[in-house]
Amino acid sequence: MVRRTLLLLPTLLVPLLLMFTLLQLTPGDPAAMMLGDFAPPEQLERLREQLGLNDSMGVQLVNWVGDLARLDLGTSIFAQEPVWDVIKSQAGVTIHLTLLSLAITVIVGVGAGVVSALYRGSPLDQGVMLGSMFGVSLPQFWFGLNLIAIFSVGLRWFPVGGYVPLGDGFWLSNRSLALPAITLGLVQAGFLARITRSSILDVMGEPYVTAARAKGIPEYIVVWKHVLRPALIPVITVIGIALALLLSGAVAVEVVFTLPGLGRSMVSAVARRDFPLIQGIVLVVAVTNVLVNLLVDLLYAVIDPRVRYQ
Amino acid sequence: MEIADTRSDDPVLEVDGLTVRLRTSRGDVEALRSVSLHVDQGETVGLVGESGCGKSLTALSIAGLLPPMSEVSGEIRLCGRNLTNLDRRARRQIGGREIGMVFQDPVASLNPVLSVGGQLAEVARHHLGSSRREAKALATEMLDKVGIPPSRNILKDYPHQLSGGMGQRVSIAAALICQPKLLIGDEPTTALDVTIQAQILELLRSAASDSGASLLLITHDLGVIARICDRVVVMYAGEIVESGPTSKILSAPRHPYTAALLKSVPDPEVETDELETISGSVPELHEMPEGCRFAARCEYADAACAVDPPLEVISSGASLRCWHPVGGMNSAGGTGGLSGRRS
Repeated sequence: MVRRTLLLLPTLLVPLLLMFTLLQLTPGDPAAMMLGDFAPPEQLERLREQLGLNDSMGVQLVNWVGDLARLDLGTSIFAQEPVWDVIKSQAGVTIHLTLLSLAITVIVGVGAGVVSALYRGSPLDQGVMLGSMFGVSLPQFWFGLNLIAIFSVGLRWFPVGGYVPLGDGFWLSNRSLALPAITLGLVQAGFLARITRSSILDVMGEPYVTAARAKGIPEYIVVWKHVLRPALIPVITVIGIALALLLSGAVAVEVVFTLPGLGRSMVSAVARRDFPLIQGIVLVVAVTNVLVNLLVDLLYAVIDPRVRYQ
Repeated sequence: MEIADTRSDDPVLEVDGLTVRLRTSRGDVEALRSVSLHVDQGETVGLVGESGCGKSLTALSIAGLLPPMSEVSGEIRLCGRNLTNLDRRARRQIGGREIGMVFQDPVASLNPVLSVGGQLAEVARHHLGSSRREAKALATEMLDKVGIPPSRNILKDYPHQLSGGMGQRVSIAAALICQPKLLIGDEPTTALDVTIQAQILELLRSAASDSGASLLLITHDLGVIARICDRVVVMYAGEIVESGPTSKILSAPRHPYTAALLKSVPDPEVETDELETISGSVPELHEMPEGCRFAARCEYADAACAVDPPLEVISSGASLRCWHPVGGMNSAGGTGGLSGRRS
């Protein structure tokens, strides 16, 4: 367990280094973005020096990692606020959105997968498989725009965009995130439904399921105890992956639905070359993903005794 | 315990004219044709044949585990009660309670995510309505009976922690926990190490007889038959071709297929470079020949074999499906037997 936790560090380091290098290679100068096109060169030079942009890449990296070690993410160039504060103020929306979409993904995806495996070959199964094909193939921004056109503009059931904080009422808040969460969640649900279905069908063919039936226990117990439990093991992995994809999907969806979350913040930070903010958000997302993977590994041990005893 | 070794002629299991048609991608096929056999009280009957001959399907039919798309005719009677016209729920209740089953691969036939104790207890809890504690006590007692003493304390273990032999002991315990009338072993020793096959085989017989169950043993291994079976039923291509007492069948087989099977068992005392085989293979279900199904591989076949031979009783307790039995129509002498080698 300790070893597994220690292994997380290199897992984190690789994406962060990659991101850092890519950012350095991106054309565009934060100083020029801040001061505008007509800023005098000496002023630009002073600002660059102040922001540490003139240092070599190695020095900048060492500085950044050094700050990180002191839990200092730096200051957002554009907002002139500590990056950590910017992230804190916007993370709530993204967390709420991600959790709501995850709920939709798991309920719809696992539910549809189970139903379609149990009624394999029926019109219901074919319907689910067709639907999941659509889910997997549709681009999220397109799907989101269509939902807005139908349910917000046409039927006026949901707001077109914007976020109502949880503090203003649970129902109102979730209603404001309903369409974006459906957009994000259904796409992953399609994928999860397919994995769930094939995992269940695999387990159904196992000799221990036949053996359980031979014991004379009713079919619903056979399905519940002997099929679903072992079939869940690969499904949990995919839920972990889905969570990562939901987080990255949140970028496009927050832009489409004008939600003040980390995703949208990231897009504008990139446009403004706000390096510290980009680095901060990527760091938070990377840490989240690593922690989710750790959680999935721990869940494995709960469900699968073969993992527990290794 | 008092019923042990009191062999009587009341059949525990009677299979009568069992025909099973399966729906496959190549159309319906007749996988079993008019299979009839019986297992008497306290008896051990071996069902033998090459792979694909329908012996496992016969076992699944008896246990009520056929795929839902299959069409079954004929009767399967357990202690005189016809099982084929029971509804699905009542049919399911027979399994575990009145018919116990042990499968080929012990590790694969135990659920990897449930504990050994849980898998034993669920049978007792469901059929006997035992409480959690009673079921646990019963499970411990059953494990002791199959040679796993309580000191081993494996109730909380998971199947992957068991060896193949231990796994099969657990399966036998689970199959016998409700004291069924019939125990079916579907190749129960095939997947095990040779060194423990004999132990498990002996355990199957003694555990079955201790709990008063008759034993139907499905196998392709004639050595297994010779060791523990009272009677043998030989199947070929979905039909029964010969049946009779073990000693008779092994020493003087009448059906050319049985004789060929016996000949293909290598004799450890004769040095040879080549093993005997039966040329050709079992015909595919969807291209079953007219007439005798073994004719194409049979050295005695002639024009008469184009007509399907009936299964006829040739002496008490023995029957045969052949126009040209080995050793002639009425003589008892045979060739190619296993006489004195294994029984």
